[in-house]
Amino acid sequence: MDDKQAMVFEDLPIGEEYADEYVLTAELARDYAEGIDDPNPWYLERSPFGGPVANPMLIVAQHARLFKTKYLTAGNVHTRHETQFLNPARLGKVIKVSGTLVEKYRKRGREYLVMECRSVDEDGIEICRDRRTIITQYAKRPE
Amino acid sequence: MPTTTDDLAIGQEIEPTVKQMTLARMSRPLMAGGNPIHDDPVFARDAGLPAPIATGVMSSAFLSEMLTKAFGIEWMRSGSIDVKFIRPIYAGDTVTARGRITGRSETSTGVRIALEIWCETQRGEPVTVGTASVVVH
Repeated sequence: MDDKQAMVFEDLPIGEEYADEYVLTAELARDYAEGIDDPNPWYLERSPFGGPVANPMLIVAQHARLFKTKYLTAGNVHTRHETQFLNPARLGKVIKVSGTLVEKYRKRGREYLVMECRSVDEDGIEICRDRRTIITQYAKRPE
Repeated sequence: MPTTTDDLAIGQEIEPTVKQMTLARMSRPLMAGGNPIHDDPVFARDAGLPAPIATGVMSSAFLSEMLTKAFGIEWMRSGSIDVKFIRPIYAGDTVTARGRITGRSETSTGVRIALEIWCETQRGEPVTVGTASVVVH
């Protein structure tokens, strides 16, 4: 049974924390490489770091999954991100993602949420930090 | 890829990256993330859009690809990016990621290169704009 809630802007508490984890598989790396049409062999075969490493933006893109750990959401649109890359992410590792809702505001009739996120691998190596802004419900599903 | 930091002059543009936004790629689950505005033409039309719009981070990925080609492993170890998605990218668009060096400063670990970065479409309008920096040795 899915215990996720609908995302209600007024009810979202500043400081709410989110966490998730996933395995950084070769399949995920390949799917992302094909999706953005970037066949760099670093991401699929070998890299200057030894074995293959993830496209750094693949790790950032996974931060979008954090709201989905608690809320039923399919209508958010990303408007900004400020990201620091700290280390390459090696394929095969478990990546632990965490985030905190740090700000929310309304502007021109739209609702904005700001989350600070980080990804760390199973060995404790920090991969990246990210501050991302999204609009909730850019377009609503038809009734 | 520049061979030395001396090759990185203020005002210099780095090699652009060009991408065709196909609905097939935008529709992949990893790209669309379950949001129909990214992959459903009917939903997009009902939302007042001429076509599905790409996720903003797809354009960030194009910028990161350009910066990886320019700065190699340094981009993964010390890169930072701050971008805003100011206009939609529609299915069928051609997107070009561009960057221009705007500053150089010495740090304890190397030379920090600052850049203005952006993506533009075939319509000639910027769709994603921001800055990046990276420390090179």
